[in-house]
Amino acid sequence: MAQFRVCPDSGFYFDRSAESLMKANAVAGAVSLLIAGILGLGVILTRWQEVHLLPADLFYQVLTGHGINALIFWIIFFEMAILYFASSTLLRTRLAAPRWAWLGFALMIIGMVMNNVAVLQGNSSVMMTSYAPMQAAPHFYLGLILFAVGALIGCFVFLGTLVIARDDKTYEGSIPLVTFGALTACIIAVFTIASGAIILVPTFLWSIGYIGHIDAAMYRVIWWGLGHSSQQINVAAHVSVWYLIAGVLFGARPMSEKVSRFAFLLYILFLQLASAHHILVDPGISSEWKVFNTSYAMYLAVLASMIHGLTVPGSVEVAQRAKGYTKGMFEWLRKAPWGNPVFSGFFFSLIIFGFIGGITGVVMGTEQINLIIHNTIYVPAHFHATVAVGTTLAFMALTYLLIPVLFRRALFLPWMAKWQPYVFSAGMTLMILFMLGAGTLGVSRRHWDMDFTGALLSFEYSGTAYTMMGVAGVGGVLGVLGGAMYLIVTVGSLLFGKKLDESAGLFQGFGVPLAPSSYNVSQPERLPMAPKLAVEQHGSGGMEAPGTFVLALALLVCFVVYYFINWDYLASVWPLS
Amino acid sequence: MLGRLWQWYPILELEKNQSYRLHLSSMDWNHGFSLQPVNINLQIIPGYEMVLTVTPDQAGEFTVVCNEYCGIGHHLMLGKIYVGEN
Repeated sequence: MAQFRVCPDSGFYFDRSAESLMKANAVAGAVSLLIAGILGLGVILTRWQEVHLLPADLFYQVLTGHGINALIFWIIFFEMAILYFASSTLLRTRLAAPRWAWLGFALMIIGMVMNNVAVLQGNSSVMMTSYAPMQAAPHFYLGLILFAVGALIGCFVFLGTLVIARDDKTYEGSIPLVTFGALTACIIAVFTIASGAIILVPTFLWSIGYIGHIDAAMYRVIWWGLGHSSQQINVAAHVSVWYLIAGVLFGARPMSEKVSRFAFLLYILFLQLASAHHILVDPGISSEWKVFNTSYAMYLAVLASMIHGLTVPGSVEVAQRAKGYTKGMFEWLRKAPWGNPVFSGFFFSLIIFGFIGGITGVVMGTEQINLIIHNTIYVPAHFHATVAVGTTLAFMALTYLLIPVLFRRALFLPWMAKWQPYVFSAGMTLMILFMLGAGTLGVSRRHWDMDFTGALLSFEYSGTAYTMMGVAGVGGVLGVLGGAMYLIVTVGSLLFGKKLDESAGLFQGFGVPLAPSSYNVSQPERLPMAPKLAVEQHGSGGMEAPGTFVLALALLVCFVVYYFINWDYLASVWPLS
Repeated sequence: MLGRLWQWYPILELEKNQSYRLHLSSMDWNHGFSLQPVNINLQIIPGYEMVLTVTPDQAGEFTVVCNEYCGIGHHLMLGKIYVGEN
């Protein structure tokens, strides 16, 4: 018999087994983020040429570990927690096959440890992309494969939970928008993991000697089916988190629910093709293919993000105006709860993802412009805006919501939590903007030494490039500090935060369920008896959001100006064909 | 021009405003052809040959930086293209 508790603060229902899985996955994610952050500090302090902390071998090793822990382990563990929340909690239903979900979790932990051990041993400094024919130790690939299998099991548990909810009729009509977004993420995840299996399984067999040859270009094409699509999982997941936070904090409803759903659908149909951007300047692939994927396909996918970018703050504006914040264009935004890290983290995630991540993404995704950007430090700048701020900060904001709601703890050091999104955003934005600048000046990514010490020939970047990398270094250190603040608040809350439930058990923060007396509901109340929360329901909020439209126009102006600046840079290179 | 661990071979001497067919490939791993300070960046993949027509429109000394990670000596991998006035 499934057991449920109702969170007295938020009204959310938690199935006992789903709750433990959410906690375990969120904690595993935080551990991965800790590893990623420490390694990230090593990376940024080495690329800051005046500091140049690590020797070359250690730098490449640390960079490999940083990428995998941040981009794969932290984000996917947290996404598993989101999938369980969006299915079981938002649909008020029991989780399908919790034992399978735990098996998936165990595989993910084993995979994560195995891969980290491989990198730590030093023979697998092949970067996250591990381009064949450069070879890592077999357990480097095996760890990733096990992790992916575990995540795949989690996806099927999510889908199974949707089936149970439908059979039990725990909701009316179609699933709520946040769950719909999570479903989008899940479908893209299945595609991504399939691509990953197609390329990583043969690569693993090659690393132990069963297969003689992996074609280098084929590897890149299929690997990016994994590499970029996995970022679309993140986009779908963090957009769902935006809707969730807007709904919980403001009771906001999407401006038009149909349009938002349609935008999620566009992600499934077109965003995978963003993978094509990584191979724009590769040989052996036709121009027609590149142009199709980077024009029609991409514009439709970007359209989806622009819809979400408009409707999420728009829905907040509509909800705020309904509360009476109607003065001028921006009173709704001025009077928003800026001291609440759930709001500030959510809003900075939205702005930095849209303005910096979105604009740079479209610019570098243009086949012609890609020529002046490919493999420069512009590329990591772009994905730090999208993933390291867009996704990561959205997840951080959600964590501040989950600590009281899911873990039943008060925030530890609330003043630190309050400032954390500001410090993290400021540091990361500084780092990203100056890395973009350095990339435009040609500074290469994944490069230990921009002085080229010891090379037979010599080359010197301009002084401006050095200054930019220095400022990026300062920003990066500040960003790591912001990340550390997040972990201090999170871990501190689980260990020392005031318990919000008298009957809570000692280890409740680490995946062990709350005391049995907390679970006093055997079946969640059904419609129409129980009032549903905004995020569990349907409906649109309306379009009365002039402030948001002004912000959107500002985004377009920034984009157009910046796009033409880049065409101008391109016009200054040698004629090529 | 060939990329291999860890150099670009050979050093090229070109003339300004002449068109050339440039063949690029790699002997071993992925490399990145990054012509500085002009800022032209191309992916070089072993087993594939990229052929492009280039017309240098500036004279001087240009450096080919490897911008795809290719192991411990990645930062040593530089090449040169000299463009003379004709």
